[in-house]
Amino acid sequence: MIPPHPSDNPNPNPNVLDPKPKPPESGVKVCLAILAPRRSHTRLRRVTTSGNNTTLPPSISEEAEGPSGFSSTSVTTKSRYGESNPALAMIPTKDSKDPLKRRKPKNNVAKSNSSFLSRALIHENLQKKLNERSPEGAFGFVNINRAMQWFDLSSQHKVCIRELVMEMLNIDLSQQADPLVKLLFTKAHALCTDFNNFSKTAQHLDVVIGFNTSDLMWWEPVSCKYARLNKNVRTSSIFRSPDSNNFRA
Amino acid sequence: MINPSPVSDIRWLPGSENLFIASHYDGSLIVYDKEKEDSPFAAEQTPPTQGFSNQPPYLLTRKSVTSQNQKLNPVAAYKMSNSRINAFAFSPSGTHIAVVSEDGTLRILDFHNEQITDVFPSYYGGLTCVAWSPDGVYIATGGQDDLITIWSVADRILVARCVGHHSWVSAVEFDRWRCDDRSYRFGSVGQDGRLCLWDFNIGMLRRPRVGSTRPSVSSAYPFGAGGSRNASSTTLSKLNSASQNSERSRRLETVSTADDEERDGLGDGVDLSDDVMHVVVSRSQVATLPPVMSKIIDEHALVGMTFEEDYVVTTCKRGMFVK
Repeated sequence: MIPPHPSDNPNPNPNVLDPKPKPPESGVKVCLAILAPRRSHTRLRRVTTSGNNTTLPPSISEEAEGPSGFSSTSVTTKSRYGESNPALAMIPTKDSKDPLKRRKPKNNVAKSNSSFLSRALIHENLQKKLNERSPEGAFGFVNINRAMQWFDLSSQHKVCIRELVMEMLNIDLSQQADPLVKLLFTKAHALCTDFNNFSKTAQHLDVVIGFNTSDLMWWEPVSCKYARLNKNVRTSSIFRSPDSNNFRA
Repeated sequence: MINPSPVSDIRWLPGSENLFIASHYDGSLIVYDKEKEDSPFAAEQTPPTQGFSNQPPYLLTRKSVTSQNQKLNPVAAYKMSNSRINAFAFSPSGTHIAVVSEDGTLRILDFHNEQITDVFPSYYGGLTCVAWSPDGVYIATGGQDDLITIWSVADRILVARCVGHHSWVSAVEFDRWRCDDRSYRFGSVGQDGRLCLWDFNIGMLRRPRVGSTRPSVSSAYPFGAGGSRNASSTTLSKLNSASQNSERSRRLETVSTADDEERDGLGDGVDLSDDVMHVVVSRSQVATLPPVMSKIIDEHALVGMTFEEDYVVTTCKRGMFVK
């Protein structure tokens, strides 16, 4: 029998009492991201009773309540982490003059030949979809086993989710719940994700992913760029490819 | 490679474009800059071989944020114990981090000043998830004891244990759209496939038969007041100042002068040499809270949840669900 290719998952041991430790997994976790400006976490809208829906649009009712409640708890007075250290001060560069222009990671997910990221499936109408969607809708960054998927949850909410559930149960019933981008990793399982609410713009989203191999990935999904941090060279499958004398990492 | 162990949780620093924190399975909390290259990391302070986590200062700063060597990652690195960090959460003010770990502790880290202010034990078993109330007054943790535990940050005490899950709690989250200055709505999901919703109101807590009538007055809580505290611990006094009346002052940011004498009075008759480490509180001294809703929504173990304004997203080991 041919042993599994190093980039494949090893065959699962049918013995449930297998004493060998399995790599940690976290199950499906979702990280929601909404582009429209929102109340920050310190601001809290007063809700007198649950289900007391005001007829005002949220933006107006929020302003009207501005001075009351917790909204006076502003973030402005707080100190910044590491501000006393000049070595951490941001060095002004050409890019930093334009606040909307942010530096992107270096590598392209589609053109990557890294053995860490095995494949990236990008929706063919990604830019069009992004331009057409409402900023109020949520994006979902979802890790499913070795895949990291970026969904637009604003499109046909319920339907989309139903399909999603199907898909996650590995029942390929429909193509409607296409992720905008699906990243497939060679070996690593994503355990946790976070989206940067502070730096978000329509053209730039900062997402970081933590893996069970200890790797970290900074991913900018709109431009499909990524960078790796805390690169774990040892576990991210160094293997000798049969037809070459070079190591691939 | 800076840290070889798996990443259990990851969060961007509030208000920062570049910095994020990752917690690792070896008990490390590491601050990274997304644009910096990795360095072959050499700790600026080496760890003692064992047992450091249960002695002051409870935190090993392996690289301080004040380090001048900031060309490469990590920006800062801390180690809290040798056991796995399961989750962490930033306080709404962004200055504190609540860290829960497999060794069954909730640690509160004042990370701007790089010191641990409190170490709280679980009832038993590891703690798996943690969330701050939107105003920063309370912390909710869920754990392998099947309980959600509510802690008052300012009073530095356990406020209530919430009984309702039949297995490990895997995620807890406050619903910031349904919290006001008195009552708090939060939700939790567990390995039992159950989604529980809880309403917590400090005035409505059902007291245990034996014990004090108000949780914020700490006579029944031997560890409630930490005794006298030296003036240098500025954050502590800041926290304590807010605690003098937790029912009214609802913000960590409340700046008033700490009344050390009053704190001493509260700590009467209790000799605690160490005010960071807290002890387990007996069942008879803690209020319990039942869920307002408890429903099995999935046959699989649930692992995550997020509140949005008009829906809840829960995720299980195999899928995702929206309510």
